[in-house]
Amino acid sequence: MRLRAGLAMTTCLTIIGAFTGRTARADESAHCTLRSVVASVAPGGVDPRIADLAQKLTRAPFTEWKSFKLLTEHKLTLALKAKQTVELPEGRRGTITYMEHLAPQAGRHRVRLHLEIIHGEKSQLSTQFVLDEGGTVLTAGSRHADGMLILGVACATES
Amino acid sequence: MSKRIEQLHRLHDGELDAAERARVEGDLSLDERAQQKAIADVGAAVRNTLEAASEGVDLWAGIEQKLRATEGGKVLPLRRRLRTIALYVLPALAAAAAGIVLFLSLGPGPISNACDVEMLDVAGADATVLKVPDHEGKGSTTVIWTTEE
Repeated sequence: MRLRAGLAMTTCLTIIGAFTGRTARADESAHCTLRSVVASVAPGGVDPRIADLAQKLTRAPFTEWKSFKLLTEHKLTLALKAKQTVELPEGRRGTITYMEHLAPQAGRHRVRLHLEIIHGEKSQLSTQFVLDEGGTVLTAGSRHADGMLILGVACATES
Repeated sequence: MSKRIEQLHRLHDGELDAAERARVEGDLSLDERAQQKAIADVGAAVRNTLEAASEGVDLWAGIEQKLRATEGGKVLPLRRRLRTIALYVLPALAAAAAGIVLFLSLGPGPISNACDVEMLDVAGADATVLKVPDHEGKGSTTVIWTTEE
């Protein structure tokens, strides 16, 4: 009886292990998009080039801003642990590092990223986060001549 | 934290007396006004989502059911208990494992814009991590909000 129970447990664990670990591809590159958007209180709506963000930008906490215009868009391909720096509006630079591709949870692939925003010689923001592939994280609040700067970061390891 | 930022925080938290509140509100720039509204909107959105999620939840019914189930519980001899574990619990565990495997093999769930912020360091600004409920509260988007000094 004990042997049978042990065998059953071992079989279950083996099956689970085989399924959960099936797509951990640590050697894969990440394809990231870093977009900068200026939000202004003047009317104007959402730039059609960022239509995919419209639902997020027309809700709290952005309801006080009435126009959203795409300023820059950088499409990057990052190797594991590699980082790239891009120019952002008003002398800022953004550095993004692809830290890790995590084993899927509930069927969703996730990536660990590090993002740093540098203004002049000073690091304004440094953050590390885990994001669903295809999801977009937003950073907002930096001043811009026309209002407020919003950055959208999205990454995926599958094309 | 600069005096101005502190004033804005105290204004948002309702900690200013009437005179000081009127003075700070009168001095708000368009951007500061928008940011105050933004923070208030997020607070309201989070509260509404929590209220909507908990609406109609009757905790007592579940508790009462558990209490009833424990009344008059059987005492099993140790040997019989082990047999019960082997006969019922292990197959249940196997079924649960099979369920997990099936769930994982069904394909990915919806992509979420909510992320886990593991580290956040800012200079010359205050930072807040907001989990903003999406349309119909079906998910959320993470917004890292900085307020520059």
